Amino acid sequence: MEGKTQTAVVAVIVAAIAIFSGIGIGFVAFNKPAGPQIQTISISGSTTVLPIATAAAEEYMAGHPNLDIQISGGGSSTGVAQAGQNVSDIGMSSREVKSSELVTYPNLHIYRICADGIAIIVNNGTAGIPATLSLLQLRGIYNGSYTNWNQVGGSQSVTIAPMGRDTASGTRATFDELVMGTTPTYSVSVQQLASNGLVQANVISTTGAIGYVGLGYADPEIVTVMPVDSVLPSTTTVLDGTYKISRSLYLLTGGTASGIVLDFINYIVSPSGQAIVEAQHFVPIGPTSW
Amino acid sequence: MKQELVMLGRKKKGFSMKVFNERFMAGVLGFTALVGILSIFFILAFLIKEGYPIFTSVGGWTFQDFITGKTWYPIGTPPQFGALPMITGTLLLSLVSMAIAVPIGIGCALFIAVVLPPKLKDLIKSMVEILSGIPSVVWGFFGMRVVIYWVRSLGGVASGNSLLAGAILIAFMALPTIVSVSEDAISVVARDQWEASLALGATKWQTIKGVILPNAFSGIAAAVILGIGRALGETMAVIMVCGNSPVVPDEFSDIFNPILTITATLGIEMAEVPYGSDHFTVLYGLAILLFLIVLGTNIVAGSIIKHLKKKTSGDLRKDVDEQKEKRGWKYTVFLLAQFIFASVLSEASQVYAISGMVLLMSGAIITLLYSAATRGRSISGVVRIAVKGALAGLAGFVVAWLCDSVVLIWGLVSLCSFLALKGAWPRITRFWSRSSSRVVSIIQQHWRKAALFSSVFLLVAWASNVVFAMAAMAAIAGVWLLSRRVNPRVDQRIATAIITASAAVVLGMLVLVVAHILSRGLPHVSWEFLSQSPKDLNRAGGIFPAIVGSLYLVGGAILFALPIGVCAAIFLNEYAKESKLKDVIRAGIDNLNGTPSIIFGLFGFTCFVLFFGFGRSMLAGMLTLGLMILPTIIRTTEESLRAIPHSVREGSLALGATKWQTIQKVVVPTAVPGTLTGAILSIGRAIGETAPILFTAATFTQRFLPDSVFDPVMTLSNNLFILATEIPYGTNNAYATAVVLLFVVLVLYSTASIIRYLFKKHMSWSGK
Repeated sequence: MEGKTQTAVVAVIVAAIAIFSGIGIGFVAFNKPAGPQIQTISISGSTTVLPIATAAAEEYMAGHPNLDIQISGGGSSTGVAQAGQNVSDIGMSSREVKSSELVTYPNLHIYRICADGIAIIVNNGTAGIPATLSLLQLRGIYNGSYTNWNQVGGSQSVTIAPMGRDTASGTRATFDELVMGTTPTYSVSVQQLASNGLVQANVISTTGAIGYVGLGYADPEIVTVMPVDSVLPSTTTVLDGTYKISRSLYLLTGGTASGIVLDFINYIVSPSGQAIVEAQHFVPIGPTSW
Repeated sequence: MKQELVMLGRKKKGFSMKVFNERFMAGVLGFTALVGILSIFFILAFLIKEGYPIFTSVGGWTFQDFITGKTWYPIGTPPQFGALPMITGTLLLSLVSMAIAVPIGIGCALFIAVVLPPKLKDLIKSMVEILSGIPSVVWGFFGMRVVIYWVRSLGGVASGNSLLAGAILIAFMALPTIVSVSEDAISVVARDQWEASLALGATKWQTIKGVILPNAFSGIAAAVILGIGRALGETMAVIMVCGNSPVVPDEFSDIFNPILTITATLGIEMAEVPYGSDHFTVLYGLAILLFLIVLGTNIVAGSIIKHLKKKTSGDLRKDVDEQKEKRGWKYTVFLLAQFIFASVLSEASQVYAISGMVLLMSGAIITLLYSAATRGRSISGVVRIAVKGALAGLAGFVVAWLCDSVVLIWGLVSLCSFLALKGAWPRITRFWSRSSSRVVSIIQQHWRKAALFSSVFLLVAWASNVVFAMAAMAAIAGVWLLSRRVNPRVDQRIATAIITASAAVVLGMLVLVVAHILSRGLPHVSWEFLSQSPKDLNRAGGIFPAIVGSLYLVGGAILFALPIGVCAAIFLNEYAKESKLKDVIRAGIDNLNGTPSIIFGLFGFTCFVLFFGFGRSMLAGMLTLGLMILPTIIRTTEESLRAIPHSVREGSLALGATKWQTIQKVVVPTAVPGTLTGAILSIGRAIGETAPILFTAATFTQRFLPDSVFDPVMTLSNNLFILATEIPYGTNNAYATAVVLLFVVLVLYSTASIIRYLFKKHMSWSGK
């Protein structure tokens, strides 16, 4: 009996060790080129900038076989904080860096990479929605003054389901500043979702829903993009400023960027990088370099 | 053992390798134990150090502002740090999830303990255990894909992201704990009592009602409190389905509205705040609050379980009289607690104050009437007390209606309850010595039913209004009284149906979750998916780096936690003397065992990532996860050490082996299965966790495998979380990731139960 159980234990332990070491040792060389040292760039922050960074990283890595660009989300505030704390090599932000953040992280360097409009999206299946909303109507929807589409020019009585972003979000910060005014108050029923993707998903699945997302997430095939003061967000309207809710997107580094990090940032603002920006439905600001 | 020491002493003249070995090993064990235990207490110290300013003042916000403020807008100018929305959100979520989980859990426990044939017991129990192994991020994902649609069809916010959706998920996450602890409590009710009751002609259901449940009550209570602890600490599922809107709910229908909990706030905001800022301090303050709430519930549960163990080992009837005395107080305290909770929720809203009063009085009155009705005696005594109670209640009612002061109402409630339940007793006993003392004892016996009634009342009152609540109360009382007239067999049939149904709900949910994930995910799992790097925001390509990353992380965690944990357990159990200090250490370990994982994440982020400067790295994640599972490992190892009879050790010592030799050759090998099971379950838990690695180790995409511990890693749980919440059209790969994650966890859990089964079969100290 003793022998049997001991064998069982030993077997399990051996199996566990085999699994771990098998994966650990056998696959260390997975996918990895032999030769020069692997370089890594870690990027975190705004989920608005995330698609640009990821798409650019895929292209850029194709030309740099020894480079690993690791990207995570978290929101603009996370991007600012982690770049400032040097937790990440590059932070992504979809809003201006606040003066208070510059005081906390005086080492921050800011690189503007493109422009973006915050699109107002409405659920596709919602009947009788108005043709346009004004900034004041938008504010009323989010502060609870208007709860039904027929109060803002809609032809039918449908309850408005407002979707918003959490406090780490740069999109939220920009929306607060440009739409909600100096002291934003939000209605009880505004949901605080963690990403552009979640806002989009919830707007798609909820009748009467309205949400704000980066332009890249405003796909007219799956949601209705609502004109603001009769202007639809587009490359032109964002660049010439006729679309009211627009902003710039930034990459941030703690200390001046150098080496491969600087090269990657320069890649994004180069002509081929700006083409990626456009392909991801953001507004290119023309090639520059640092 | 003394003899052995004497022998060691005698040999001490020259240098003895044996003595050196003994001392050396004891030293090593002691040191390791110290490291393990200190690191655990270090977390507590760290939390307090970072968060204590909330008890004085942060950014002009005093502690009172902090816990009563209704506005949470930490990024505003000036920032608003009102934490009341999160406090109520956290408490409400636990309350509602328990309202769902408790009846189902007790029903399921009864089903396993009483209805099931013994052969099937182990099977169903291990299925319930598997339910506990489903990672919270998988639950959250299931919630996003399924549960919010259920809630949507019930009303409330259009998206279905709501308190109720979270409560349903958390109910099922807490159910395994509730079921297994209640089942233990029910099973320890002695077999002979069960048989004696049946022999007296009682039906099974009557026995359950009259014998089993009353005896198992405290155990079930402990189970529920442990479940609450679980509910309080949940992070990922809450972030994913609760809508995260910081508002103070003010009516019952708000369960269909979004809420924000403390854990979700920490999970969403922690990574964005600068070290040492006001926002940072306030988040740590929130973590302390959460820790205190969980600590409180765990301490209560722990003391009940301790009491239960004493009770089952001793004579059941011994302290019955003593307990009766306490029951009146218990009821009063219980009602007060309910009321305070209601007042906190409503923040001085009259309706709740009044319902609280009415609830208190009606609870007392119904108890009395009910007991009188059932015993048919001393109606006059009962009526007198009832009239007194009703008058007191009426007075309170009127005053509460007129004024709107919570403090005054609290005072009134305590006064009335004191008068009605405690102060009245001695006088009553004096006046009608025999008959009324019986009434008193009846009240004392039935306080639980009264408490149950009043709980239902509270919920219903909250749901709508007092009148409706009264009607509901009457209806329940009516059904209750009526049910006493029903043929016991019919009664039993109904009861069995309900019990079986609740077990079916639990197992059905397990099947539903697994089937849903498998059916949607399996078609997208391919060799390419398992063996390639991710592409296109992880929507395409594979998750190989995530699989390896997860294994690296838990591998590192177990490498760190297992040796330290085992050494600490051996030292605690074999070397350390029983003392107050040891009790404190045990209590510390136990409480960290129940500490929400997000708190470990918080600690890991501040301590390892920022303070030690490891950055977002595998090392930080391994240490964080290691610390998280350390208490579990110490505990399970200690338990299996304690299960080894002393005679085994003494036998070895008597044969001339030294203490270390005995430990090395006799004690540790016998404790291996228990330790191993604990370790595997810990791995299972660690691999599914997202909250502790969210800010410490996880990265979203990665091209290569990490080649140093200072690289961040992709993990399965984080990949699922991000695909589900941040990436549009990521659903297919999210399902596929969930399949892989579920598979890994299920394999680990079944390995653990197979080992346990094998050793249970082969090792028993009583048989030969």
